[in-house]
Amino acid sequence: MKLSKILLGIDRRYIFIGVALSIALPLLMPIGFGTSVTRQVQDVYDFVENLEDGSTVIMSFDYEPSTMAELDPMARSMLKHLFRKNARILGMALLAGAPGIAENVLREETELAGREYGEDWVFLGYVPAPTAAMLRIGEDISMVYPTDQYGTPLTEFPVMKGVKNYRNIDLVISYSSTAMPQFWAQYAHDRYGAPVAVGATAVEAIRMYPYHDSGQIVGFLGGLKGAAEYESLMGEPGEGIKGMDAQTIAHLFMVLMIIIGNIGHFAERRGS
Amino acid sequence: MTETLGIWVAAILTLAIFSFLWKDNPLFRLAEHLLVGISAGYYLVQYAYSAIYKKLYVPLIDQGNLLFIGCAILGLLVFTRLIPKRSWLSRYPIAFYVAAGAGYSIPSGLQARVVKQMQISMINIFGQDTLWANISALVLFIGVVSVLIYFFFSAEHKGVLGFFSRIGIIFLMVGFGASFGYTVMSRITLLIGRLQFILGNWLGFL
Repeated sequence: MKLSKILLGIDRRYIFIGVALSIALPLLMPIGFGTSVTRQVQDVYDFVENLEDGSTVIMSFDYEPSTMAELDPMARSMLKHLFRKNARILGMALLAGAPGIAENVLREETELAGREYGEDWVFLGYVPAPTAAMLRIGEDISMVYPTDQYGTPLTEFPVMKGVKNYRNIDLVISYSSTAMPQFWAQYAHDRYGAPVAVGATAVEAIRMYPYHDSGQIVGFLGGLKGAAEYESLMGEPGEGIKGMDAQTIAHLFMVLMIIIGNIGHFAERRGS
Repeated sequence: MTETLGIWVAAILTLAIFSFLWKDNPLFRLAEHLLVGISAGYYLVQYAYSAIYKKLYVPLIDQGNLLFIGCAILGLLVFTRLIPKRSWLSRYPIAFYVAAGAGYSIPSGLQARVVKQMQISMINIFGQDTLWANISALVLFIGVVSVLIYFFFSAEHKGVLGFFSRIGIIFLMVGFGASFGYTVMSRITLLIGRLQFILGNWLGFL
Protein backbone atom coordinates (compact mmCIF):
# COMPACT_ATOMS: atom_id res chain seq x y z
CA MET A 1 0.00 0.00 0.00
CA LYS A 2 1.23 3.47 -0.85
CA LEU A 3 2.55 5.66 2.00
CA SER A 4 0.28 8.51 0.94
CA LYS A 5 -2.81 6.29 1.14
CA ILE A 6 -1.88 5.09 4.62
CA LEU A 7 -1.19 8.61 5.89
CA LEU A 8 -4.22 10.25 4.31
CA GLY A 9 -6.49 7.32 5.15
CA ILE A 10 -6.13 7.52 8.94
CA ASP A 11 -9.64 7.22 10.40
CA ARG A 12 -10.53 10.58 12.02
CA ARG A 13 -11.76 8.73 15.09
CA TYR A 14 -8.16 7.67 15.86
CA ILE A 15 -7.26 11.35 15.74
CA PHE A 16 -10.07 12.16 18.21
CA ILE A 17 -8.78 9.44 20.54
CA GLY A 18 -5.26 10.84 20.15
CA VAL A 19 -6.41 14.36 21.08
CA ALA A 20 -8.37 13.03 24.08
CA LEU A 21 -5.35 11.04 25.33
CA SER A 22 -2.96 13.94 24.75
CA ILE A 23 -5.15 15.98 27.11
CA ALA A 24 -6.21 13.33 29.64
CA LEU A 25 -2.74 11.88 30.29
CA PRO A 26 -1.03 15.19 31.20
CA LEU A 27 -4.01 16.03 33.44
CA LEU A 28 -3.59 12.71 35.27
CA MET A 29 0.23 12.85 35.27
CA PRO A 30 1.30 16.53 35.28
CA ILE A 31 4.63 17.27 33.62
CA GLY A 32 5.15 20.84 34.83
CA PHE A 33 5.95 22.78 31.66
CA GLY A 34 6.76 26.34 32.57
CA THR A 35 5.13 29.32 30.95
CA SER A 36 6.81 32.58 30.00
CA VAL A 37 5.03 35.83 30.86
CA THR A 38 4.08 38.11 27.98
CA ARG A 39 4.12 41.91 28.11
CA GLN A 40 0.34 42.07 27.81
CA VAL A 41 -0.23 40.00 30.97
CA GLN A 42 2.62 41.66 32.85
CA ASP A 43 1.05 45.06 32.18
CA VAL A 44 -2.28 43.95 33.67
CA TYR A 45 -0.52 42.46 36.68
CA ASP A 46 1.56 45.59 37.23
CA PHE A 47 -1.49 47.81 36.94
CA VAL A 48 -3.37 45.80 39.59
CA GLU A 49 -0.26 45.66 41.75
CA ASN A 50 0.02 49.45 41.64
CA LEU A 51 -3.63 50.05 42.56
CA GLU A 52 -4.09 51.83 45.85
CA ASP A 53 -5.54 49.91 48.78
CA GLY A 54 -9.33 49.95 48.64
CA SER A 55 -9.57 50.82 44.95
CA THR A 56 -12.88 50.25 43.20
CA VAL A 57 -12.94 47.79 40.32
CA ILE A 58 -15.73 46.84 37.92
CA MET A 59 -15.56 43.20 36.92
CA SER A 60 -17.76 42.57 33.94
CA PHE A 61 -18.44 38.92 33.23
CA ASP A 62 -19.20 39.05 29.52
CA TYR A 63 -19.11 35.34 28.77
CA GLU A 64 -21.41 32.35 28.78
CA PRO A 65 -20.93 28.69 29.82
CA SER A 66 -19.31 27.63 26.53
CA THR A 67 -16.13 29.57 27.34
CA MET A 68 -15.98 29.06 31.11
CA ALA A 69 -12.94 26.80 30.78
CA GLU A 70 -10.89 29.68 29.39
CA LEU A 71 -12.22 32.65 31.32
CA ASP A 72 -13.07 31.31 34.79
CA PRO A 73 -9.41 30.70 35.74
CA MET A 74 -8.37 34.25 34.86
CA ALA A 75 -11.34 35.78 36.70
CA ARG A 76 -10.53 33.74 39.81
CA SER A 77 -6.84 34.54 39.69
CA MET A 78 -7.43 38.26 39.25
CA LEU A 79 -10.01 38.30 42.04
CA LYS A 80 -7.41 36.80 44.38
CA HIS A 81 -4.97 39.50 43.36
CA LEU A 82 -7.53 42.28 43.77
CA PHE A 83 -8.45 41.04 47.25
CA ARG A 84 -4.78 41.17 48.20
CA LYS A 85 -5.04 44.86 47.33
CA ASN A 86 -8.28 45.12 49.35
CA ALA A 87 -10.11 46.24 46.23
CA ARG A 88 -13.87 46.82 46.26
CA ILE A 89 -15.46 44.71 43.54
CA LEU A 90 -18.56 45.61 41.55
CA GLY A 91 -19.52 42.48 39.61
CA MET A 92 -21.77 42.75 36.60
CA ALA A 93 -22.76 40.82 33.48
CA LEU A 94 -23.57 42.07 30.00
CA LEU A 95 -24.58 38.76 28.43
CA ALA A 96 -27.80 37.01 29.36
CA GLY A 97 -26.04 33.70 30.02
CA ALA A 98 -23.43 35.24 32.30
CA PRO A 99 -25.10 36.05 35.66
CA GLY A 100 -24.97 32.48 36.99
CA ILE A 101 -21.29 32.16 36.13
CA ALA A 102 -20.45 35.54 37.62
CA GLU A 103 -22.32 34.73 40.81
CA ASN A 104 -20.54 31.38 41.19
CA VAL A 105 -17.06 32.82 40.69
CA LEU A 106 -17.70 35.83 42.92
CA ARG A 107 -19.33 33.84 45.73
CA GLU A 108 -16.65 31.13 45.82
CA GLU A 109 -13.71 33.52 45.67
CA THR A 110 -15.14 36.03 48.13
CA GLU A 111 -15.88 33.21 50.58
CA LEU A 112 -12.31 31.96 50.26
CA ALA A 113 -11.00 35.48 50.83
CA GLY A 114 -13.43 36.09 53.70
CA ARG A 115 -15.06 39.13 52.08
CA GLU A 116 -18.47 40.44 53.04
CA TYR A 117 -21.27 41.04 50.54
CA GLY A 118 -22.19 44.69 50.44
CA GLU A 119 -19.06 45.69 52.37
CA ASP A 120 -16.35 44.50 49.99
CA TRP A 121 -18.24 43.43 46.91
CA VAL A 122 -21.60 43.57 45.26
CA PHE A 123 -23.18 41.77 42.34
CA LEU A 124 -25.17 44.09 40.12
CA GLY A 125 -26.47 41.38 37.80
CA TYR A 126 -27.30 41.35 34.13
CA VAL A 127 -28.47 44.32 32.14
CA PRO A 128 -29.53 44.22 28.48
CA ALA A 129 -28.22 46.63 25.80
CA PRO A 130 -24.53 46.47 26.78
CA THR A 131 -23.19 49.52 24.95
CA ALA A 132 -25.96 51.73 26.33
CA ALA A 133 -25.12 50.41 29.81
CA MET A 134 -21.42 51.21 29.34
CA LEU A 135 -22.28 54.76 28.32
CA ARG A 136 -24.74 55.40 31.13
CA ILE A 137 -22.31 54.16 33.77
CA GLY A 138 -20.27 57.16 32.65
CA GLU A 139 -23.09 59.40 33.89
CA ASP A 140 -24.42 57.52 36.87
CA ILE A 141 -24.15 53.82 37.65
CA SER A 142 -27.47 53.89 39.51
CA MET A 143 -29.24 54.79 36.24
CA VAL A 144 -28.19 51.39 34.91
CA TYR A 145 -28.37 49.49 38.17
CA PRO A 146 -30.82 51.04 40.63
CA THR A 147 -30.60 47.81 42.64
CA ASP A 148 -28.24 44.86 42.89
CA GLN A 149 -29.10 41.45 41.41
CA TYR A 150 -31.33 40.65 44.38
CA GLY A 151 -33.35 43.86 44.39
CA THR A 152 -31.61 45.80 47.18
CA PRO A 153 -31.07 49.50 46.35
CA LEU A 154 -27.39 50.27 45.74
CA THR A 155 -27.50 53.15 48.22
CA GLU A 156 -27.82 50.59 51.03
CA PHE A 157 -24.39 49.07 50.34
CA PRO A 158 -21.29 50.55 52.01
CA VAL A 159 -19.23 49.26 49.05
CA MET A 160 -21.07 51.71 46.78
CA LYS A 161 -20.29 54.74 48.95
CA GLY A 162 -18.74 57.46 46.78
CA VAL A 163 -19.16 55.44 43.60
CA LYS A 164 -21.17 57.34 41.00
CA ASN A 165 -19.51 56.87 37.63
CA TYR A 166 -16.21 56.04 35.91
CA ARG A 167 -14.46 58.87 37.76
CA ASN A 168 -14.77 56.77 40.90
CA ILE A 169 -13.70 53.53 39.20
CA ASP A 170 -10.00 52.65 39.23
CA LEU A 171 -10.18 49.76 36.79
CA VAL A 172 -12.72 48.07 34.55
CA ILE A 173 -12.04 44.42 33.72
CA SER A 174 -14.01 42.67 31.01
CA TYR A 175 -13.81 38.89 30.70
CA SER A 176 -15.22 38.13 27.34
CA SER A 177 -15.64 35.68 24.52
CA THR A 178 -17.15 38.39 22.31
CA ALA A 179 -16.25 41.85 20.99
CA MET A 180 -17.37 43.39 24.30
CA PRO A 181 -13.85 44.48 25.41
CA GLN A 182 -13.58 46.58 22.26
CA PHE A 183 -16.74 48.41 23.32
CA TRP A 184 -15.41 48.85 26.85
CA ALA A 185 -12.27 50.41 25.34
CA GLN A 186 -14.39 52.53 23.02
CA TYR A 187 -16.77 53.88 25.65
CA ALA A 188 -15.31 53.44 29.13
CA HIS A 189 -11.74 54.32 28.17
CA ASP A 190 -11.89 56.55 25.12
CA ARG A 191 -14.92 58.54 26.18
CA TYR A 192 -14.63 58.56 29.97
CA GLY A 193 -10.95 57.78 30.54
CA ALA A 194 -11.46 54.69 32.70
CA PRO A 195 -8.56 52.20 32.57
CA VAL A 196 -9.72 48.93 30.97
CA ALA A 197 -8.11 45.50 31.32
CA VAL A 198 -9.27 42.48 29.36
CA GLY A 199 -9.50 38.76 29.85
CA ALA A 200 -10.22 37.35 26.42
CA THR A 201 -10.67 33.90 24.97
CA ALA A 202 -7.78 32.88 22.72
CA VAL A 203 -9.99 33.40 19.66
CA GLU A 204 -10.64 37.01 20.67
CA ALA A 205 -7.15 37.70 22.03
CA ILE A 206 -5.69 38.40 18.61
CA ARG A 207 -7.99 41.42 18.27
CA MET A 208 -6.67 42.89 21.51
CA TYR A 209 -3.09 43.58 20.40
CA PRO A 210 -3.85 46.85 18.55
CA TYR A 211 -5.90 48.10 21.50
CA HIS A 212 -3.02 47.37 23.85
CA ASP A 213 -0.47 49.01 21.57
CA SER A 214 -2.63 52.12 21.30
CA GLY A 215 -3.01 52.32 25.08
CA GLN A 216 -6.79 51.87 24.94
CA ILE A 217 -6.48 48.90 27.28
CA VAL A 218 -3.85 48.46 29.98
CA GLY A 219 -3.23 44.86 28.90
CA PHE A 220 -4.96 41.56 28.36
CA LEU A 221 -4.93 37.90 29.30
CA GLY A 222 -5.38 35.70 26.25
CA GLY A 223 -6.94 32.28 26.69
CA LEU A 224 -5.83 29.63 29.18
CA LYS A 225 -2.21 30.64 28.68
CA GLY A 226 -3.02 34.16 29.83
CA ALA A 227 -4.59 32.71 32.96
CA ALA A 228 -1.55 30.48 33.54
CA GLU A 229 0.76 33.49 33.14
CA TYR A 230 -1.22 35.49 35.68
CA GLU A 231 -1.22 32.57 38.12
CA SER A 232 2.54 32.23 37.78
CA LEU A 233 2.97 35.97 38.46
CA MET A 234 0.73 35.58 41.51
CA GLY A 235 2.67 32.52 42.67
CA GLU A 236 -0.63 30.67 43.12
CA PRO A 237 -1.08 27.81 40.62
CA GLY A 238 -4.68 27.27 39.61
CA GLU A 239 -6.70 25.81 36.76
CA GLY A 240 -4.66 27.77 34.20
CA ILE A 241 -1.28 26.27 35.08
CA LYS A 242 -2.84 22.81 35.58
CA GLY A 243 -4.26 22.93 32.06
CA MET A 244 -1.09 24.12 30.32
CA ASP A 245 0.60 20.68 30.24
CA ALA A 246 -2.43 19.26 28.44
CA GLN A 247 -2.52 22.28 26.16
CA THR A 248 1.15 21.85 25.21
CA ILE A 249 0.89 18.11 24.53
CA ALA A 250 -2.34 18.57 22.54
CA HIS A 251 -0.66 21.26 20.44
CA LEU A 252 2.32 18.99 19.78
CA PHE A 253 -0.11 16.26 18.72
CA MET A 254 -1.85 18.71 16.37
CA VAL A 255 1.49 19.77 14.87
CA LEU A 256 2.38 16.09 14.38
CA MET A 257 -0.93 15.49 12.61
CA ILE A 258 -0.38 18.53 10.36
CA ILE A 259 3.11 17.23 9.45
CA ILE A 260 1.72 13.74 8.73
CA GLY A 261 -1.06 15.24 6.63
CA ASN A 262 1.45 17.30 4.62
CA ILE A 263 3.78 14.33 4.08
CA GLY A 264 0.79 12.34 2.82
CA HIS A 265 -0.31 15.21 0.59
CA PHE A 266 3.11 15.68 -1.02
CA ALA A 267 3.65 11.91 -1.36
CA GLU A 268 0.33 11.68 -3.19
CA ARG A 269 1.24 14.57 -5.51
CA ARG A 270 4.59 12.98 -6.31
CA GLY A 271 2.89 9.62 -6.99
CA SER A 272 0.21 11.03 -9.31
CA MET B 1 -26.96 15.37 47.16
CA THR B 2 -28.20 18.04 44.72
CA GLU B 3 -24.62 18.85 43.73
CA THR B 4 -23.79 15.17 43.14
CA LEU B 5 -26.90 14.74 41.02
CA GLY B 6 -25.96 17.84 39.03
CA ILE B 7 -22.45 16.52 38.42
CA TRP B 8 -23.82 13.15 37.21
CA VAL B 9 -26.31 14.78 34.86
CA ALA B 10 -23.64 17.13 33.46
CA ALA B 11 -21.15 14.27 33.01
CA ILE B 12 -23.65 12.01 31.24
CA LEU B 13 -24.76 14.83 28.95
CA THR B 14 -21.13 15.68 28.18
CA LEU B 15 -20.47 12.08 27.17
CA ALA B 16 -23.69 12.06 25.15
CA ILE B 17 -22.47 15.08 23.16
CA PHE B 18 -19.01 13.55 22.69
CA SER B 19 -20.61 10.34 21.39
CA PHE B 20 -21.28 12.22 18.13
CA LEU B 21 -17.55 11.97 17.40
CA TRP B 22 -18.08 8.24 16.92
CA LYS B 23 -21.31 8.60 14.98
CA ASP B 24 -24.73 10.22 15.18
CA ASN B 25 -26.96 8.51 17.77
CA PRO B 26 -30.18 9.06 19.77
CA LEU B 27 -28.32 9.92 22.98
CA PHE B 28 -26.52 12.78 21.21
CA ARG B 29 -29.80 14.04 19.78
CA LEU B 30 -31.46 13.94 23.19
CA ALA B 31 -28.64 16.02 24.66
CA GLU B 32 -28.76 18.41 21.71
CA HIS B 33 -32.52 18.92 22.02
CA LEU B 34 -32.22 19.43 25.76
CA LEU B 35 -29.59 22.12 25.16
CA VAL B 36 -31.73 23.94 22.61
CA GLY B 37 -34.91 23.72 24.70
CA ILE B 38 -33.35 24.72 28.01
CA SER B 39 -31.40 27.57 26.38
CA ALA B 40 -34.55 28.94 24.73
CA GLY B 41 -36.44 28.83 28.04
CA TYR B 42 -33.58 30.36 29.99
CA TYR B 43 -33.03 33.25 27.58
CA LEU B 44 -36.76 33.98 27.31
CA VAL B 45 -37.11 34.29 31.08
CA GLN B 46 -33.85 36.20 31.45
CA TYR B 47 -34.75 38.77 28.78
CA ALA B 48 -38.33 39.10 30.02
CA TYR B 49 -37.18 39.69 33.60
CA SER B 50 -34.19 41.93 32.82
CA ALA B 51 -35.73 44.00 30.05
CA ILE B 52 -39.51 43.99 30.39
CA TYR B 53 -39.84 43.71 34.16
CA LYS B 54 -36.77 45.58 35.43
CA LYS B 55 -36.44 48.19 32.71
CA LEU B 56 -40.11 48.82 31.88
CA TYR B 57 -42.55 47.49 34.48
CA VAL B 58 -40.63 48.74 37.54
CA PRO B 59 -40.04 52.33 36.34
CA LEU B 60 -43.47 52.67 34.73
CA ILE B 61 -45.80 50.90 37.15
CA ASP B 62 -43.88 50.82 40.46
CA GLN B 63 -42.23 54.23 40.18
CA GLY B 64 -44.86 55.95 38.01
CA ASN B 65 -42.36 57.36 35.49
CA LEU B 66 -44.70 58.20 32.61
CA LEU B 67 -41.83 58.75 30.16
CA PHE B 68 -41.69 54.99 29.84
CA ILE B 69 -45.13 54.92 28.18
CA GLY B 70 -43.40 56.15 25.03
CA CYS B 71 -40.82 53.35 25.32
CA ALA B 72 -43.58 50.79 25.82
CA ILE B 73 -45.47 52.01 22.76
CA LEU B 74 -42.31 51.91 20.63
CA GLY B 75 -41.60 48.40 21.87
CA LEU B 76 -45.12 47.21 21.18
CA LEU B 77 -44.99 48.64 17.66
CA VAL B 78 -42.30 46.06 16.80
CA PHE B 79 -44.99 43.40 17.10
CA THR B 80 -47.01 44.97 14.30
CA ARG B 81 -44.72 43.00 12.00
CA LEU B 82 -47.03 40.10 12.82
CA ILE B 83 -49.96 41.97 11.18
CA PRO B 84 -49.11 42.36 7.47
CA LYS B 85 -51.43 45.36 6.92
CA ARG B 86 -49.95 47.28 9.84
CA SER B 87 -46.36 46.05 9.60
CA TRP B 88 -45.16 49.46 8.33
CA LEU B 89 -45.62 50.75 11.88
CA SER B 90 -42.72 48.58 13.04
CA ARG B 91 -40.38 50.80 11.02
CA TYR B 92 -40.71 53.58 13.61
CA PRO B 93 -39.08 51.75 16.54
CA ILE B 94 -36.51 50.28 14.17
CA ALA B 95 -35.71 53.74 12.79
CA PHE B 96 -35.43 55.07 16.33
CA TYR B 97 -33.13 52.21 17.32
CA VAL B 98 -30.92 52.55 14.24
CA ALA B 99 -30.69 56.33 14.57
CA ALA B 100 -29.81 56.22 18.26
CA GLY B 101 -27.33 53.37 17.70
CA ALA B 102 -25.66 55.13 14.80
CA GLY B 103 -25.52 58.39 16.73
CA TYR B 104 -23.62 57.02 19.67
CA SER B 105 -21.55 54.40 17.93
CA ILE B 106 -20.29 55.98 14.68
CA PRO B 107 -18.26 58.91 16.08
CA SER B 108 -16.78 56.94 18.96
CA GLY B 109 -16.31 53.86 16.75
CA LEU B 110 -14.35 55.89 14.22
CA GLN B 111 -12.21 57.36 16.97
CA ALA B 112 -11.58 54.05 18.76
CA ARG B 113 -11.24 51.68 15.83
CA VAL B 114 -9.84 53.84 13.03
CA VAL B 115 -8.20 57.06 14.23
CA LYS B 116 -6.43 55.51 17.26
CA GLN B 117 -5.25 52.53 15.21
CA MET B 118 -3.96 54.88 12.49
CA GLN B 119 -2.08 56.87 15.09
CA ILE B 120 -0.19 53.84 16.38
CA SER B 121 0.66 52.87 12.81
CA MET B 122 2.24 56.29 12.19
CA ILE B 123 5.51 55.78 14.02
CA ASN B 124 9.06 56.87 13.35
CA ILE B 125 10.52 53.78 11.70
CA PHE B 126 14.15 54.59 12.50
CA GLY B 127 13.72 56.63 15.66
CA GLN B 128 13.00 53.82 18.13
CA ASP B 129 15.11 53.12 21.24
CA THR B 130 16.48 49.72 20.26
CA LEU B 131 17.40 47.93 17.05
CA TRP B 132 14.66 45.37 17.65
CA ALA B 133 12.07 48.14 18.09
CA ASN B 134 13.25 49.71 14.82
CA ILE B 135 12.86 46.37 13.02
CA SER B 136 9.39 45.90 14.53
CA ALA B 137 8.38 49.39 13.42
CA LEU B 138 9.67 48.71 9.89
CA VAL B 139 7.75 45.40 9.71
CA LEU B 140 4.62 47.18 10.97
CA PHE B 141 5.03 49.89 8.33
CA ILE B 142 5.55 47.43 5.46
CA GLY B 143 2.68 45.26 6.73
CA VAL B 144 0.18 48.10 6.97
CA VAL B 145 1.10 49.61 3.59
CA SER B 146 1.26 46.31 1.68
CA VAL B 147 -2.05 45.03 3.09
CA LEU B 148 -3.73 48.35 2.25
CA ILE B 149 -2.31 48.03 -1.29
CA TYR B 150 -3.71 44.48 -1.50
CA PHE B 151 -7.18 45.90 -0.81
CA PHE B 152 -6.73 48.71 -3.38
CA PHE B 153 -8.85 47.55 -6.30
CA SER B 154 -8.92 50.67 -8.48
CA ALA B 155 -5.86 49.59 -10.46
CA GLU B 156 -4.65 46.20 -11.71
CA HIS B 157 -2.16 44.54 -9.38
CA LYS B 158 0.83 44.61 -11.72
CA GLY B 159 4.37 45.95 -11.44
CA VAL B 160 5.15 47.77 -8.17
CA LEU B 161 1.52 47.49 -7.08
CA GLY B 162 1.55 43.74 -7.77
CA PHE B 163 4.81 43.32 -5.84
CA PHE B 164 3.51 45.05 -2.72
CA SER B 165 0.16 43.32 -3.10
CA ARG B 166 1.93 39.93 -2.94
CA ILE B 167 3.80 41.04 0.19
CA GLY B 168 0.41 42.06 1.58
CA ILE B 169 -0.85 38.52 0.97
CA ILE B 170 2.07 37.14 3.00
CA PHE B 171 1.19 39.43 5.92
CA LEU B 172 -2.46 38.42 5.66
CA MET B 173 -1.53 34.73 5.64
CA VAL B 174 0.64 35.19 8.74
CA GLY B 175 -2.31 36.95 10.38
CA PHE B 176 -4.71 34.15 9.45
CA GLY B 177 -2.20 31.56 10.69
CA ALA B 178 -1.87 33.30 14.05
CA SER B 179 -5.65 33.57 14.26
CA PHE B 180 -6.03 29.87 13.46
CA GLY B 181 -3.42 28.99 16.08
CA TYR B 182 -5.32 30.96 18.70
CA THR B 183 -8.57 29.27 17.63
CA VAL B 184 -7.00 25.82 18.06
CA MET B 185 -5.77 26.87 21.50
CA SER B 186 -9.24 28.05 22.38
CA ARG B 187 -10.97 24.85 21.29
CA ILE B 188 -8.40 22.65 23.01
CA THR B 189 -9.00 24.61 26.20
CA LEU B 190 -12.72 23.85 26.02
CA LEU B 191 -11.90 20.15 25.79
CA ILE B 192 -9.46 20.50 28.69
CA GLY B 193 -12.26 22.06 30.73
CA ARG B 194 -14.62 19.19 29.99
CA LEU B 195 -12.01 16.52 30.69
CA GLN B 196 -11.04 18.26 33.94
CA PHE B 197 -14.70 18.09 34.89
CA ILE B 198 -15.08 14.41 33.94
CA LEU B 199 -11.79 13.23 35.42
CA GLY B 200 -11.91 15.53 38.45
CA ASN B 201 -15.42 16.52 39.55
CA TRP B 202 -17.11 13.33 38.33
CA LEU B 203 -14.56 10.51 38.65
CA GLY B 204 -12.39 12.13 41.32
CA PHE B 205 -9.07 11.28 39.67
CA LEU B 206 -7.64 14.81 39.78
